Amino acid sequence: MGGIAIVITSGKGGVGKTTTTANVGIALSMKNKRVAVVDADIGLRNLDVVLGLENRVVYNLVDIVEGACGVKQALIRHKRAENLYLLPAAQARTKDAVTSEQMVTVVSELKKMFDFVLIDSPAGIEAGFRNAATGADIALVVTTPEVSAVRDADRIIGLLDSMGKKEHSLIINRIRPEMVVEGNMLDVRDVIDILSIKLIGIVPEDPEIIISTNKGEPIVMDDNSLAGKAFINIARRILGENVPWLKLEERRKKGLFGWIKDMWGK
Amino acid sequence: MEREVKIKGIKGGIVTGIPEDIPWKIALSMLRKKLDNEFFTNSSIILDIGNREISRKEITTLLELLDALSVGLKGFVSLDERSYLLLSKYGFSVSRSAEGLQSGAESEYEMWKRVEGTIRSGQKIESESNILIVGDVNPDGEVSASGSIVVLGALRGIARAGNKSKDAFIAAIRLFPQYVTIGKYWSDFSKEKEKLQEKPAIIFIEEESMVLRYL
Repeated sequence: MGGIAIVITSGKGGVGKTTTTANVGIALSMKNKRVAVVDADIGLRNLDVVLGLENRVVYNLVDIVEGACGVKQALIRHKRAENLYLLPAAQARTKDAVTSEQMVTVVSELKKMFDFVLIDSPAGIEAGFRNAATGADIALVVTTPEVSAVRDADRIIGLLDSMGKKEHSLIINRIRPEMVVEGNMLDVRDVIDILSIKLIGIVPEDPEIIISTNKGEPIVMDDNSLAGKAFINIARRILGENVPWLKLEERRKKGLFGWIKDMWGK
Repeated sequence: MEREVKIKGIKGGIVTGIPEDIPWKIALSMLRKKLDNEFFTNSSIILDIGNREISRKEITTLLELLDALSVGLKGFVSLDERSYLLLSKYGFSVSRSAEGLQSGAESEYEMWKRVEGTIRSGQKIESESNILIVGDVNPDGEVSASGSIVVLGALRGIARAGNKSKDAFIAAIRLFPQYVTIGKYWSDFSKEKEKLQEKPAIIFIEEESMVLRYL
């Protein structure tokens, strides 16, 4: 019994793992779920900043593992999302500070207390990634529509499979509809065709994300943001809802030629 | 040769020797006793018939028996000229020695290694036989076979075929590889790349060069 542990991972750095963890976490908490977000990027902690909780970090993941505190003591409650708690990473340590077994123990303890445990994985394919993934029930693989990011996602999916983590879904982040329409960016279909896993979210590029990240106010809390809506939709799909896809292109002028091309594509 | 069905394992196969001087019917019942064991189910054997002259009917009864036991047949070892020709005529792999059969040099009907699922970036599939991939081979995924490679999906990564044979081929439902090799031949189709099409294709060696043909 207990909650579901979800690892958010990507292989490549900078594609939006931490932003996704924070926003999907808050979106789930807004659906009245009890959520813990775990920063597994030991030594390069970020999730506290994105959530605006950097000044409240007292204990961290490594302290729990080393017995300096209990799990409950290290958890920080979010200021606005009352159902959301953060378990921060240690900043002054490295990935070796925690073993896989210890990570599994912490995650399973959190699963007893929460409906969802979201684990923000570090970039890379080394121990840090393995520790983050090992305690998870399902994986969300984040990629951007770039050839390099898709290749790293492909590698990560292969590694997840070999770890026996066969339940995984894809989030395509930072889609720029106008570039896709012009043919200058891989489109969603290209990415799914290559990675051949289930799609759970498409998030458009949104300059507001940078502002929200710096402010520590996740974009899902902004009602007018398309990216925020996309993250809410991901949370709803995690909860099993059947949510229609956001029409990212509908307001773009396609012209007659584009329209004919679309018809042709069907 | 001894009056007993003998089984021995050699590198990569099981060789079953059939005595030459006992009637075929008795030889088959001896073979049945030896092979009627879970251990051999779904395995493939090489049948050494030595100097025996085998007939068409005898081949049929043998195939029926092996079929009933769910045992596959990799090929024959035959020293008798007539049997050799007859068996090759029927499309079996035949050799003078079990090792000859192993090398794959004379045999057309080799084993296929079947792999299901996507071969992803960083993954490598290798086999001493032919390889059948039921899925895609993604960029930086690699398939390497001594024989031929068939991809029932998109080949976007690397395929190395025919490490031992120039007759090997590479086929895929969609072919956009990083590069392919067949024996010593190599190509990334950089000249053709603009023209690569979303169609099933086969690559083989013809007149000392690599040929890509759409099917």
